[in-house]
Amino acid sequence: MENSNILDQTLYVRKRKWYMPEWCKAWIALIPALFFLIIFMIYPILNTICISFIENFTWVGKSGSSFALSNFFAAMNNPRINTMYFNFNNYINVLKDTGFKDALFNTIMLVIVQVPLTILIGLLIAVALNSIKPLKAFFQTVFFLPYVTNTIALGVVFSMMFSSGAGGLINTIAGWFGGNPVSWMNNKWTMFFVLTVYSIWNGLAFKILVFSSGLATIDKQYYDAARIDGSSKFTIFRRITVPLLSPQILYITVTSFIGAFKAYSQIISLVGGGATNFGGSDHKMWITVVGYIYYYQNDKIGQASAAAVILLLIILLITGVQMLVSKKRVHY
Amino acid sequence: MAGNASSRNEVYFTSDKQRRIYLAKKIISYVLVYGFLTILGLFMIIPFYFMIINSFKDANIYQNELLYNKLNLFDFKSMGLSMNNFKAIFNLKLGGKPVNIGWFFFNTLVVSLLSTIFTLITTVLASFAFARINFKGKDFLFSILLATMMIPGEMMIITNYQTALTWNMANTYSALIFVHGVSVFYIFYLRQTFQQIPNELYLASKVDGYGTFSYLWKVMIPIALPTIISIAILSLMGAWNSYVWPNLIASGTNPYFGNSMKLVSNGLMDMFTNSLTGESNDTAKMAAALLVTVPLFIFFLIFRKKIMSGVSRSGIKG
Amino acid sequence: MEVKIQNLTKKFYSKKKQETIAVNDMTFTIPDGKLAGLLGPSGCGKSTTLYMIAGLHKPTDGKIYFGEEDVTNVPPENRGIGLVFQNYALYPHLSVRQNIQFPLDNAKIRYQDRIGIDEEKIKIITKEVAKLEKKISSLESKGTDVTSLLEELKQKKEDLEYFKTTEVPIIKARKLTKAEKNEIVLKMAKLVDIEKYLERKPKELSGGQQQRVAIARALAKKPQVLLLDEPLSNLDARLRLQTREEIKRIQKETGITTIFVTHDQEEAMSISDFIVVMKEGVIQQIGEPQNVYDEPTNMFVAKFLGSPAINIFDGEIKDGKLYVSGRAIDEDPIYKEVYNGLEDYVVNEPVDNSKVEHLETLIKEKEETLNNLEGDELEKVKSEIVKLREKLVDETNKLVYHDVTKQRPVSKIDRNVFIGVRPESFKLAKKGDIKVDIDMVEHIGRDISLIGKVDGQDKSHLKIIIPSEERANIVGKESVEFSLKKYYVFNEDGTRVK
Repeated sequence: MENSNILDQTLYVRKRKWYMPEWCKAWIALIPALFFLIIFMIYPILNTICISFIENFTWVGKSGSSFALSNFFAAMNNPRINTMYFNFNNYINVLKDTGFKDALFNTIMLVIVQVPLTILIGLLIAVALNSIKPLKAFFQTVFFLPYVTNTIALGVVFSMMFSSGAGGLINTIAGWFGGNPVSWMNNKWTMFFVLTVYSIWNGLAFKILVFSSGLATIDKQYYDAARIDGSSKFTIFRRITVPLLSPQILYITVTSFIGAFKAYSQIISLVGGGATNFGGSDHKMWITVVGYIYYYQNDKIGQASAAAVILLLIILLITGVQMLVSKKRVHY
Repeated sequence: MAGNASSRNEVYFTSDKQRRIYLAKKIISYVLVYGFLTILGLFMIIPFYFMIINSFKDANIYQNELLYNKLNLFDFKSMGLSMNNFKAIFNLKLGGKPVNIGWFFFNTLVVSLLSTIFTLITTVLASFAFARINFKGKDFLFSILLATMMIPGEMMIITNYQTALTWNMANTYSALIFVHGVSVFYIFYLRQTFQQIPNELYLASKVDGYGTFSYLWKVMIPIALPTIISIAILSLMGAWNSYVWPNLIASGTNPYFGNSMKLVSNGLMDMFTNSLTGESNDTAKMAAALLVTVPLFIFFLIFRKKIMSGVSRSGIKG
Repeated sequence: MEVKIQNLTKKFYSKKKQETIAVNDMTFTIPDGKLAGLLGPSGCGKSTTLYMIAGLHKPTDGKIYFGEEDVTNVPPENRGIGLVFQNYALYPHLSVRQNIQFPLDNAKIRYQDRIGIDEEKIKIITKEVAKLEKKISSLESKGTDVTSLLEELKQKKEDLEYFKTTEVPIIKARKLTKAEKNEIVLKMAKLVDIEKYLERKPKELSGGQQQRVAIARALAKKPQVLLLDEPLSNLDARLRLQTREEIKRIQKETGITTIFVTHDQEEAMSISDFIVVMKEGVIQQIGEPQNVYDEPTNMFVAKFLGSPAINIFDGEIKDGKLYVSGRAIDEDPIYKEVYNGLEDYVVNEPVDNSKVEHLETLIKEKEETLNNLEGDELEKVKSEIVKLREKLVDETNKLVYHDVTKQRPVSKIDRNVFIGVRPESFKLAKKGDIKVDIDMVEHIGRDISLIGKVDGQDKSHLKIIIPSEERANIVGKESVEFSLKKYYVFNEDGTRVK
């Protein structure tokens, strides 16, 4: 169109009859995420808590509803199904179960040994990385490799490395130092060694990364000041690096404990043999709390749910304690 | 430190002896640090090397080495490198029926791509709502979501399994995409990034004639793109590693297409349990492990910087 | 476009249901094509007012008109305004060119298609007629009075006939073509002198350049009103002067009604055609800069404008005359008028002499014992003495303060007043209006700046500027007489007497 035909000087935007209110837009944006979150996260949490209080809970009908209460009522009306009751028996049974006690014991052993070791080694590596310039990126990549590798694939590799034959990798190395070949995966405590090595190997990557980023933000001036004061490297580490890194250390500690308590995949990866094979002749040698949940989730649903709730409580407890301790030690 | 170390890079010495001591100390510390890193670095690499070497070794050669303590890691010639293991994998049979491992990779690829797209859409919209729009109950809702981040996934699996069965989602792609598609962690992370974009831009775009959602598409998303890419990368990588849920809900064959629904991890576990490769074919397992590792490894090499910065940034904010 | 504000009010409610009145019943009009400044201290509501004119905040009460059109409820994008934010708000991911082009992507331009029968209009009016008829019939059955609606219906039917039979120019709207957009972007870039940087991203530009881009973007859609929020406060001093002139030049070239907000009175005075002085949400004075400077309506305005600031010292009205430090300097019938206003309630806590004496004796006693003590006891007594001394200071410095909540209305003629004199309004005289004790003399080249006190008022602080030719007359003198060329008399509550 020619310029002569253009009227108004001001360019304008089309006027609408109705403007959608802000809250309407907000809910439209939220509904996709909320919908799936409610169905697959919030509802299951509540449901599991419900189930944990129902003794003898089973699913009524293979494709029946997953809603705990409707299953409960269906069972009441159907005399052929085991009667369900609302009580604490699931919890009592779980806590009495030697299987659960074993699982809890195993889990705690794993956590106590693995977490502090991994954090400490990770911290040292991060500090070492921070202090060098040439080859830094190369080493960072090397240490990050485990993070991008499939857990099960690594489990296969590790289990082979630790194979019981005299020619297994680790046994060969032991041979160089004058040791004897060990049947790694058949004995509980030798397998504990394997598990620990594997967990540390796997867990370093993330921790090193977070610590490295944290270290990079520490102002060099603090180090300079300490140098001028004549502090030794150890003192610098203890008095400057660690406190300034304390937010990251807290984050790593909290998440590591939580993650370690959920130990499961490293065991089945090492043992192979499917989702409920935890090693040993009874397939339960290194069962953990999570393993327990998965083991019973089809047969004793109520107990599995109760165990899941107990797991949640343990995690909340640990985190709560750590947050309390952190108030004094963490500097932002 | 020696002398009067006043500036960062220069050190003053009061005598030759001090200078030599200083240099000696410096060399020792370098040796220690690099030595430490190298040893641990080797420790990191050994499993990979082991995996690669043994993938190419014939099964019987390896068996020999294992039994007679003649582990051979470096002598390539006498190892008899061959592709037999890979051939074995591609010719797998389970109970007489041939298994096409290509399906494992295909499924994992499809699930990872589709679930990432799904995650991105839901996360971007939800984060935007929490970050920029003011509505009643915003804070309350957000704190509830934040609280759920602490809850372990094990509490949800049992119910989700039954829900999926009820809705006939067993062995479908949708079960793998939608059930774990929305992550509160990503919403939290992206919301943080959105909040750092100054609100004046929103007002400016309003004056310029743009509505709320056009603003999201044209301004917020382009500016927050690095974070969005980090989320996409983490999400893509996640599918490659998932085992428990696919094992539960997608171990069989797809009702519509008839293919095996297993993902890479599940397939690998099957091989591990000797159900596919037959007893003691350890080297085939290595080859399988290698095949599973390689795609993600290549992905890592390409996006290395983005992956590492995404993980570290999300870690710090956490 | 003329901007008219009527009774504009904005109240904010905090979470605890506390009400803050940011803008209180403002009414003013800015004529078309003028550059107007909203001036006031921080937090006085000027930015809020600007945002209400822009449409980003909804007023609690009042109306805003652009010309004849009531835009109070019209959203910002439909008002035809351009807004330049205080921190420019440029889109960081777009180049300068794309930034300026951003508003154009949404904008439409109206053009005249042809002259003919306007089918669209006919359809619209037919629909309206139908709706109106339905409404009338339903109201009629209820028995309500529909005469006014029937009138409307008749009018609409007439319009319908008109449009069905006459050929009118048909106006349509369309989006801009790429070429047109480019043309506008180039024109704007030329106007603000940023052509060379069209392809750069905002973070590669300096503050001043970024602002020019923001101005270009605001002007791109040829707004009716241009609004600027504290445009100069983020720039360094040198750039400020330069950009001031740029804004004035741009406004003159485009002729767009412009309103800007600032807390810098020098800025407002130098470029505005028109200033609005605000304090705590209330307009203090409106007018041309020189007028507001010369004739402030109250003490706040007088103190706010002018650099260096106006001098304020005490005076007294007695027997129809104005006195300063005992000297009568003015006789005007206005001093015989009754003043109805508020007087501060002055609280005067008297010094309790007995307490002071008591403390002093105590301190003396303690000090005498010091010689006989040692070690810990010595330290203890010393700290006791320190505490006693502190108490002594408190007692002797009792507060004299104005209790604002207890202001009471008074009606009187003889009273204390404030006198305001601008630094340049002093003239050396043999026997003038006031005597000034000089504390310091500064030579600043063109002028001499004197710091001093009004004789008899130790708490006063005067800054006087006289031309440097007068140097000889003040050398070595401890106090000088001045006559006041121009002065303002204010009541205690700030209202102006003369």
